Amino acid sequence: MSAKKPLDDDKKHKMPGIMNLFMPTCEEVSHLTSQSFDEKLSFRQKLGVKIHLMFCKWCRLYKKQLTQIRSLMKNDPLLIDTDLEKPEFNLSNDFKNRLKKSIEDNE
Amino acid sequence: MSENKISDPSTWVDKYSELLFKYAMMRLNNSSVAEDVVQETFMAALKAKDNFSGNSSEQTWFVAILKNKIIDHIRKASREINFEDIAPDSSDAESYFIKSGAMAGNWVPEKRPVDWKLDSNNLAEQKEFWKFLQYCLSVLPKNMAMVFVLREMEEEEPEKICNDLKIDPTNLRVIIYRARLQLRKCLEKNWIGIENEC
Repeated sequence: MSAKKPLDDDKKHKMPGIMNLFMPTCEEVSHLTSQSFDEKLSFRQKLGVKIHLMFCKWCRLYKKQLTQIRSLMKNDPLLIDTDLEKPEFNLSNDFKNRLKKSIEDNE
Repeated sequence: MSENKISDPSTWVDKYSELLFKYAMMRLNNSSVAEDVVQETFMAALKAKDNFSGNSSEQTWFVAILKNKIIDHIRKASREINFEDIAPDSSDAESYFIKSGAMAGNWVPEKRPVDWKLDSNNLAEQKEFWKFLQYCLSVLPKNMAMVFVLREMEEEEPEKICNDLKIDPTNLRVIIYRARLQLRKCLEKNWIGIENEC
C-alpha cells in the first residue's frame, strides 16, 4: 500500500503529471483528513492534502461533510427543545415513579 | 454557601428526567442502560446539591453530571468490546476505495461524497440531522459508535479516549476514521437521500 501509484487520468483528477509523484490518493487523503480532525498533521502531510484537494472534488466534499457533522454536533436540539419524536425515547411513568421514590428515600 | 439554591428535589423528575433520558439514549442507544445513568445522575445530584452554584442553569448542571455518568458507562462497557477486530481492510463490503488497477486509491463511484447543501441556520434541518444521527449511530458497530460518541459528541481529547478505552493511538485513528466514513455515508443515504450522480 505504501508504494505510490500513479493517480488516474480521469477527468476529475486533472493534475499536472509531475505532481502525481507527490500526490496522496483519495484513500490516503480520506485518512489524513480524518486525522486532521484529531491531531496536527506534518508539513508534508498537510501539503499533500492541500494539493490533492485543489484537484479533487470528492475529497473536498468529504472534508466538508466531516466539518458539517462536527458543527451540527455542537447544537444538540435536545437542549433547546425536547421533541425528538422517537417512541422508545419516552420514559415510562412507572420508571418515573420509581425515580421519584428513590429521590425521596435518599434525600 | 451560595444563595442560588437548587430547586426542590421532588420536582426534578418531572422537570428533567425526559430530557436526560433522551440525551442518554442518543449516546447509549439502550433504554435500560439509559435509565440506569439517569437514575445515577439524580442520585449524584442529590449528594452534590449543596455544591450547585447557580453559575449555570439547573438543566446545564444536570446534563454535566449525566455526561460524566455516560462517559463512565462507556468506559466500563468498553471492557467487553473488542477494539482489535477493526483491521482496515477487514470488510470488503464496506470498501470505499478502488483496490487495484490504474484507479487504485480513488473513490468507488457510488461511494463518492455528494454536496449536502445544508443551511447552517435552519433549525428544522438541525433537528432532522439529529434524528438520522441517532439511527446511523445505532447501526454502527459498537466500538465505532463508542469512539464516535466520546470524540464528536462529548468532545473528549484523543489521548483521554485512548486512556479510557485502553486502546493505542493508531487503533483509535483507524476506528474513528471508519466511524466517520460510515456515518457520513449513512447520513448521506438516509438523511440527504440523494443517489449519487456519479
